[in-house]
Amino acid sequence: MKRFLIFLRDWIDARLPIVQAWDTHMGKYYAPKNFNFWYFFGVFSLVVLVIQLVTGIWLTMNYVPSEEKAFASIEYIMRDVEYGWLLRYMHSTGASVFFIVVYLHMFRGLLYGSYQKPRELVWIIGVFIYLLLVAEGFLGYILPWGQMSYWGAQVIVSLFGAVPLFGDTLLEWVRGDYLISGITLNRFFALHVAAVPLLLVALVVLHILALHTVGSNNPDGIEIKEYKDQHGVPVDGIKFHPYYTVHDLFGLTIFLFFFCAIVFFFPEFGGYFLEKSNFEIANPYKTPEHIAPVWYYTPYYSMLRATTITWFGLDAKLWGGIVMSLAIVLLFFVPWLDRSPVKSIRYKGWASRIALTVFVICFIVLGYLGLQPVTEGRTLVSQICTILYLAFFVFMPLYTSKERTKPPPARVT
Amino acid sequence: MTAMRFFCPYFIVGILGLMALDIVAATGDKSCGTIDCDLIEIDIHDKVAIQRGAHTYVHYCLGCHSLRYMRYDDIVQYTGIDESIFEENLILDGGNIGDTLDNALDQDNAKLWFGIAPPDLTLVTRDHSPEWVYTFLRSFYIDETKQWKVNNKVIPNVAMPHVLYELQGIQQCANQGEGQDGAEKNDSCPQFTLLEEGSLQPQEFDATIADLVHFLVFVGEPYRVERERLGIYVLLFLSIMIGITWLLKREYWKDIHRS
Repeated sequence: MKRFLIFLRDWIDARLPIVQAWDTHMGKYYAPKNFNFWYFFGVFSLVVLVIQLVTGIWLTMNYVPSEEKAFASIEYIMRDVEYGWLLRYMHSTGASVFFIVVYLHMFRGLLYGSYQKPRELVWIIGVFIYLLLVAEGFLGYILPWGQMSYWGAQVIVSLFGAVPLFGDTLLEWVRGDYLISGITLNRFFALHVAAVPLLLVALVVLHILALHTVGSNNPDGIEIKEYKDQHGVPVDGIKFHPYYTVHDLFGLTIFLFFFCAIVFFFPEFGGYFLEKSNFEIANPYKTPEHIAPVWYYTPYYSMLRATTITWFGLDAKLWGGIVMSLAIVLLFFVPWLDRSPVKSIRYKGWASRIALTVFVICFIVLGYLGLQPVTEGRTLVSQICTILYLAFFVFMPLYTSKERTKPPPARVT
Repeated sequence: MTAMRFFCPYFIVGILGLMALDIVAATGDKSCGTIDCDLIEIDIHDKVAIQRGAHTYVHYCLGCHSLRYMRYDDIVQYTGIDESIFEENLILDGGNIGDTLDNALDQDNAKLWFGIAPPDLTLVTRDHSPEWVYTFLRSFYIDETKQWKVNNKVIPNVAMPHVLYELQGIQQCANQGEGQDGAEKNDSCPQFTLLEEGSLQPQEFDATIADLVHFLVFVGEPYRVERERLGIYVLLFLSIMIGITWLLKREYWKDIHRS
């Protein structure tokens, strides 16, 4: 048996370099030995992606993407399909958890300067993945065809209508109808189950390939490749397999514990993962009093609502859309906005630390406010937070180059 | 852990920030329409309550409000009612045990009669809340100006008649007639008095509604008990796995940090 397996391996390897691929990405991929808590979230997002793909495929087997049947088919899955409730709750929880782990993963990148040279492309591909994820979540949210599916889509899609000159035409083109309808549902379904996941998987592969080319960053933000032993192996590096596979397996089990605790005991998560009003079937004639997107979009939704300027005679909604887009687009430029000589926050100065802290607080506050109905005071707070959010990027070249940094150590600590 | 040094301040400041915001923006929203919801404890394991609730629902509500995603069979399975007894007492339209709880109400006619078609209630406790349903059904009061001579404090100007009046009797606002200003009437109705007694005592009526809400909570998610039962095993398994994977990690990493 063993001889047969070896033969099989060699037979394939002569035709496809599987041994080399294994060595490059697992067996002889050297990762810094000082990864901390924050370095779990990359692996977690990969696992959540797999959970979403698998449960998604199984949900598709019973979901009916039509105006008449969509809502009923979800309830059919919840009741009549064996373990359908489990598939559905895993998928709905997975959506929210995906954003939690991705936000933490991105925060890790900002914390330790993982976007700096030579990892610019890893970061940029990552931002594209995040963009696709935002699109994927939005497209998927319309599928249950509940009230919030419908009206959330209505609000967000209507942003296209704010484009000057051909906004209305664009809006019709996106919806495929004069209002959100079964036609919109069908195309969103197609994009949600085929187009976006394909791109997402492709980009994740590129993200990892690029990362394994330049090597992983670490909490000290120093290059382990600069100190190699006589075999050309980084002294502060350890083989990804077995060291980080067992390390991540442990972290993953803890993660799955929390994930399953939500799936089995708090699937609605207090109305944040599954919104209450989405248990009512979509009704185009009944606008809900309070429309809020799911929590992971609310920071941007707050920015949209907080934008009340009407410069150059253009609609405030258009400016809101521009601010929202800018909030994400600016992420692409972070590798060049950060002018610091050091990567990690550990060795950056106080200005960077305060900037990042304020940025994170603003993001959370905006997220919270996006879930609440508008009041005058809230709008003001949103406006301040939006400005601070943008200022984090705009002034980054300034505060990262002027501040006093500490010299990073030569070897990892 | 150095990571926690970063994590904690963000977390604490974030929570404090959110608390501060809520003080800034507190609003006086009522949880149940014009009033606050009455509280009710739901014990989804109380199968007898669910059985009684099912009985009330089928006899008083189902004629207008379907439960079109719910199957009779799931009620039988969960509550353990004998199938023949169930069919005899709870399937009034001669349907099959595998059918959904639908009714023969014509939607267009219903619209004509009530102004709005009675909504399906399969998910009403998830869309609103158990407390909301509990409060709504106990908040009808006499109002001669309305089509069905009743109004409701949870849904003002509700299109639904007080179907359970023969059980509850008829309530009126304790202060009705005292307030001169019509606009203030709604606010000056903090409690009800019983104008006409029903066949049940007030406590009995409340208990009947509580049972009905138990049934609707069950209908909203019939596999909830199974979900939680299974969940305990899953979490137990993962707890053991956490221990095993930790030992595995420790074993492999023994020689790492020393170098």
